[in-house]
Amino acid sequence: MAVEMEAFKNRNEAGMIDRISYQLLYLMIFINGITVVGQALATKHAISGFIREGNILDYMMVIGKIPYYYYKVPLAISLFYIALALMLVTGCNNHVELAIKLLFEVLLVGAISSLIGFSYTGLVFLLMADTMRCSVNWNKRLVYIILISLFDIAMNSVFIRKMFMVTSVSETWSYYRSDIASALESGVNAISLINTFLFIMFMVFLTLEQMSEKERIRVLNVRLENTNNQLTEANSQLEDANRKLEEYAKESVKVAQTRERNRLAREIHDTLGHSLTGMVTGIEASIILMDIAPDAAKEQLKAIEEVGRQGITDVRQSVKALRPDMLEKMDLDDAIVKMLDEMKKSTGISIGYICQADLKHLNQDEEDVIYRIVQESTTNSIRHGKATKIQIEITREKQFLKVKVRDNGIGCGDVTKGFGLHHMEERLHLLGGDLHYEGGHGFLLETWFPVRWGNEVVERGEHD
Amino acid sequence: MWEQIRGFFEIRINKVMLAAILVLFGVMLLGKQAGNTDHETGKKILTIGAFTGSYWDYQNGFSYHILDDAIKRFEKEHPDVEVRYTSGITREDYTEWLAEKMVKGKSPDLFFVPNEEFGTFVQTKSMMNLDDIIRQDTSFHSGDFYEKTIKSGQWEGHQYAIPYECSPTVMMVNQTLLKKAGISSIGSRWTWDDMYDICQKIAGNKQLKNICYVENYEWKDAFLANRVHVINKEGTKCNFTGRRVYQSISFLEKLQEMEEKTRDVKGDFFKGNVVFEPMLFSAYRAKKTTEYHLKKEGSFDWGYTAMPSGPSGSNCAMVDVLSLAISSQSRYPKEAWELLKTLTYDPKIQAELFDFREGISPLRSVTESLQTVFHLKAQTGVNLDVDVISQVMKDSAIRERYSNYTEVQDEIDTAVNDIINTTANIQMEQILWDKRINQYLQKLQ
Repeated sequence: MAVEMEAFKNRNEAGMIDRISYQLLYLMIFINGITVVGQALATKHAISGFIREGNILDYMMVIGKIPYYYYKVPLAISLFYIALALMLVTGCNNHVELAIKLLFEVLLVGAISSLIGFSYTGLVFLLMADTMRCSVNWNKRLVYIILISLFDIAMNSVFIRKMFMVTSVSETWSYYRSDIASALESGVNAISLINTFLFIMFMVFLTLEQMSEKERIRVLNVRLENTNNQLTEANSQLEDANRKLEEYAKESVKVAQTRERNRLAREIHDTLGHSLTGMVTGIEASIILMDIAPDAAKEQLKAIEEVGRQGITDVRQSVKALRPDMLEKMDLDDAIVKMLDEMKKSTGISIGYICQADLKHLNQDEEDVIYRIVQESTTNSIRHGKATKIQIEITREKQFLKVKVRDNGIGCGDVTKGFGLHHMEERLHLLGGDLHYEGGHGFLLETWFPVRWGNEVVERGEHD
Repeated sequence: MWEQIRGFFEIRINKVMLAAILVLFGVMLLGKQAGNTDHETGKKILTIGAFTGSYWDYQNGFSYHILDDAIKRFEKEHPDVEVRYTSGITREDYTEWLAEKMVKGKSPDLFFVPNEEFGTFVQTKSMMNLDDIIRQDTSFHSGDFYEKTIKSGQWEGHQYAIPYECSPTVMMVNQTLLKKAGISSIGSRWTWDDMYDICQKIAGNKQLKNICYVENYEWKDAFLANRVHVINKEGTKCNFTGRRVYQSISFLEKLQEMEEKTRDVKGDFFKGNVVFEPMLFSAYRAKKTTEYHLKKEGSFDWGYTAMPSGPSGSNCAMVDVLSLAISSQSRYPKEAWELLKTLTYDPKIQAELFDFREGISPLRSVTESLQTVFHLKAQTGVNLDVDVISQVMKDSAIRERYSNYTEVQDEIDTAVNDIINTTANIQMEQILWDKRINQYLQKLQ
């Protein structure tokens, strides 16, 4: 906030200086214009005075030429001067443009100066100022400045005046009373002094302006550097955070696994352990009773059976607690369809589902795996692959059941196995299956595992 | 490079275009304007700058007669051109009027150049250089003019004006007085000594009293007769010393001494009491013509001859020339040249000079034709002595053209009069005045 305020202040100051240098140039243009046109008018008035008094011939003898169209000269000078002013306020971007512009300006200044008899050559300062404010490199600018100086020297040289038969203003102004003539001439001199002073001021402010410009650029550079540093820092922080997140992810997988194991262990310990312990103890007693009191042993075995059944029930309940809800309520096919429906509804993407295998006679762990694979892979496709189309196929090839999931998402070149894929692989390994994936065009996941056939329906009842 | 140049004009098209248009207007404003044409007939309009009255200060009522004739002739030959002039400008106002016209850019295409204004018009660059036109025009030969008259239109070897009319200085002679003194006649190649002797003879004749011997014979005449040019061409240096100047001044002093005896006599040539007086031929013609028309015989017989020559010179005298020049601002230089030729080079128009003007034609063939001689004698009683005139024109000198002519002439005038009127040694005085005049010339620069 403070930096911005300072920058604003800087800009404002620079703008003020900017305005001053421009205003000085405009003031110079104005003053020079007044001077030039004023001189032209005084000259015109003097010549018409010569005519009125019948001395025009003497005047012509003195100047050695006919002052053609003397009465049109002020108007012509005004036109030329306006043209010059227009050229002066025209900006230019490179040295070719500057050269063209200067050529025009020099011609105009030459024309105007010759029309007023080279008595006032302050217009050259306008050219200098114009060259100075143009943003062209210093070497070229220096060449132009030297050329303009030569032009100025030429205009002030006696040789040129003789060659062009220039009428000096003092000859014309001899028409006026000597005091008025000298007042006029000293006025012109004063104005050329003022003009010089204005030019110097212009140069000073131009230099200030350019210096402040440099300062501004320096400040901006420093700020840019600061921002860069901050960005680098933030980047490294972000990298840190990423790394930590990854570690945390790995950690959480382990934690989840441990927790699951603990729970299973507790479950086993609480249910199976309890029942088995009871059964083992009961069986031991039965072995002893078998010889002594077979009836009591029979009683005992019945009790052990009871405990075993209780254990089975307990195990069933424990396993149930591990199963997904939907599979609990309906069969696998319906559960998958329902899950995909819900996903479609909630995400709006199209999911194709084809099942060409009989899913009715699968074991519960097999069902679980299939269900989890479908759930996990669709979730991955949506979450990581940004897919809009997902195709799921479940087929049976000999004793293998295959689940193929394909999407049109961004895929991934190098797949790092997250918790989901890892878990999936683990489950499949348990069933003696495996998985294969490809991230080139979209994402393709293929899983397979051997299906246990025949008595599973019966076994389910007995061994689960 | 070209891309950048194009870019410069394209991007800033508005400002640059506006500037260019303004410059164009300015240039058009100052540039030469198209020539005048008559709005109704579409004819080109040529204008002539002329003044009323005669160049030779005699009013004869025929100021524009020759001009009108020439215009009529010219317009017949060039039906697409109309010639105009402003009448009523007097000789005194003429140059100033012309200067005003020039300043306003309305200079006449063709204008008369009085001899003494030639330098002015040269200095102000008002006249067109005719060298090229003359070179291209095979029908024009400057050799047809008297050499000195064509020279009077030249400046630094360039022809700026063509002579229209001229008048040489001749010596008027009172032949009645000469006869009375027993002098038969004077040839045209006579000298100062001859003149002095004649004056002495008349002075010696007791019957002839109250007589001026030589009237208005000035140092200028003496200097010319003795080939003295004290001022150099640029008017920057003066050579007042030397033998020839001494001879001239001594002669003038001798004349002065002789005149001292008849100081109280008021000489008037036309009253018959002056023996010799230099005059322009035009003055002779005017007086003679007036006498002839009034049928009034003069009380005495008079004629003219060439100016006497000094010991180191010839019978040289000043010739006054009225020329015509084309304005440097003229938009129709070709037509103006044709009109100028009609006025100066057409024998018929030039012959009219002998009817309506007092000078003579600078065209040798016109002035020296027998027809002119007879015509003049019969119509006006003027005796045009072809031999004398041709000799005078050949020997004549034209006015010098250095700057500040009148001021310098006045200074020399003062010098000569001072030397004559003091008894001091002439050569001494010459050296003193040489210094003084040179100083004066330096001051004038």
